[in-house]
Amino acid sequence: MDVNRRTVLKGGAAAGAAGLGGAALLRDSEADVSRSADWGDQDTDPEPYEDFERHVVGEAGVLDGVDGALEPVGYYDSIQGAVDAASERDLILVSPGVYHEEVKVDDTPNLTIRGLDRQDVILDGEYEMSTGIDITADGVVVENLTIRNYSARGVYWVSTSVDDPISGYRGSYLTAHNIGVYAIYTYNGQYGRFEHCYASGCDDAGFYIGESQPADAVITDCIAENNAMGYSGTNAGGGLVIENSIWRKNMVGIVPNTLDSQAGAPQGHIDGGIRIDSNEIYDNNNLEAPATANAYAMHGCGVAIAGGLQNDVVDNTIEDQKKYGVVVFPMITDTTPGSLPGRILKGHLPFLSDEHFYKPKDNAVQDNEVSGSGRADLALASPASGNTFSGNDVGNTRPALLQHRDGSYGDPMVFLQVLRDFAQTEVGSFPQGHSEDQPAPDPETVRDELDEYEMDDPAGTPPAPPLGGLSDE
Amino acid sequence: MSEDAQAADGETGSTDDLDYGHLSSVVLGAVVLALYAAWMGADLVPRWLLFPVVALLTGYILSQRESGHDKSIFVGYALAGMIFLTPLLFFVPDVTSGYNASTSELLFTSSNFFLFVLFVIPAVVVAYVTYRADGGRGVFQRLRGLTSG
Repeated sequence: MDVNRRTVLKGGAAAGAAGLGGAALLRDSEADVSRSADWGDQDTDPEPYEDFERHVVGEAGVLDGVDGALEPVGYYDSIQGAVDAASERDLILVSPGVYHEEVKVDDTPNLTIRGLDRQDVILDGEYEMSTGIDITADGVVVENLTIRNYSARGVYWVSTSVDDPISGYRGSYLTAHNIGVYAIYTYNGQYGRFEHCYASGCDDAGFYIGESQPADAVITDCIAENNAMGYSGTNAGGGLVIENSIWRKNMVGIVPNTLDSQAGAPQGHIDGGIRIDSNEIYDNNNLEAPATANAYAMHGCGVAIAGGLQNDVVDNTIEDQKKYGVVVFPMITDTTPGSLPGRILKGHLPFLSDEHFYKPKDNAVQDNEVSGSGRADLALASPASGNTFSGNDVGNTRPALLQHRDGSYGDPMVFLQVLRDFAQTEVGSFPQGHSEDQPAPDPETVRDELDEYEMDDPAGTPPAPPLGGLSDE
Repeated sequence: MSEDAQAADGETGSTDDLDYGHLSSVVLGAVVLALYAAWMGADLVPRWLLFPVVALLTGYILSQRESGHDKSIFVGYALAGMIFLTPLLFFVPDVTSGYNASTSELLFTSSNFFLFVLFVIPAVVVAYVTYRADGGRGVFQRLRGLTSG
């Protein structure tokens, strides 16, 4: 036999090295989402209070004959008129009608603005107004109405101080559609809840909770469709749960992400990331949705974790994504102002990084059912660190055997794929629609698909804090 | 060994005649090319199918080459060709997957051109290194030799 000792030794060494390399690479890495298991455990049945006054937007007598409806202290032609007249903890009831106004709630904490009919109480900005309801006060609740045709935001809770987040907010039974940028939106807030809401036709995100760490907030029983992103959460996390909701026909479904343009980067590094739990996510491939550049770069993805940390994606059903069901990748963008040549001269790598380059770290993807993805059901781009994928019912993954390998080693092909699409947004045009052209929701479809569509007794139900247990009750 | 066994040995080749150097270089070359093909094509064709098909095909071609030099040249050019074709695996799924956008919007983009250049550069480098290693014989000369047997 034509084999000498040297050949045998070389063969043995090669096999040993291959074995060691393979063993290092292929090791089951159990995802552990228990770190976020008790997130979202909010007191959703806070004690109603009686020390309030009613203000009615509409004609006198609109509450006549309504059981339990006490006599209001005043009637107003506009919602803003009622807000200006109200005191802390009051209830504003809005009669059916179309209201062309921008409402600001700055000095009235714990106010409740409630429509008497979700479908027929409509704030309409006619694309000439910026924001439907702009709230900087703590503890404000908006519920049971529709907001449409604003150029920037539908309902917007925002703190005026970076160091002092808005504390307590809730949006319930809201329909917000054909909104320029964000439909239902919180920026720098804590202790919040969006429930039984619908958002569509936004060129950024239907639902957005950003720059909030810890956020201590829940999005539940909601629907987002025909947006650039169903949900976006820049630099948000910590007690933040997205659950039991439907994300479909957006350009991309759910996007926890990191950007240097907002405080607190990278996303999830302070108090943990976002728990994305038990959602239906499908067909987010809509290139006719209105879009920002970043959303286009992630089109065709169900859940896209862009440079985020410690996000848990668990028990979701994700179907028919043209690119990836779940993709985890470094944030590839440059939000520095200025032209591309100008940014290059400042030392930024074009397309490749913000002020910093954030790779995804310690994200866990567990027990999801993912099918019908065009490229891969699960994908991890390189570079990455400490991500884990296990127990998912999936087909193709990138890299191969993703659920049996160290999640610190992603696939350069995924990185290049995302890089290509971010680059396209920098140097050229990309397919997208316009907010004005998006279809209005069919109320009956929304009613069928949400667990709860509208309030049972909006006129007779006393107001309550956004959530139980808030310190300022 | 019986006479029958000896006869059979004579027909099929004895294990003593196995050239392990030749075999290992064939396997190594085939695995390298099949791994790259499986990586680049995994979005379109399952790896379990792509890897063995490419490995068997290239293994057969490599087995026809006697010298290690010839095998290396084949692997070099084949690898360069696959690197050159890799951008197609980014473009093709976009236009075949049924996005609600026109093919021209998806295909003729600045970033696809950028990606094309990104892969052409290493493809040219690998091809040039192979060309130099082959003593400057040239691809077409080699292909003519291949087709003429």
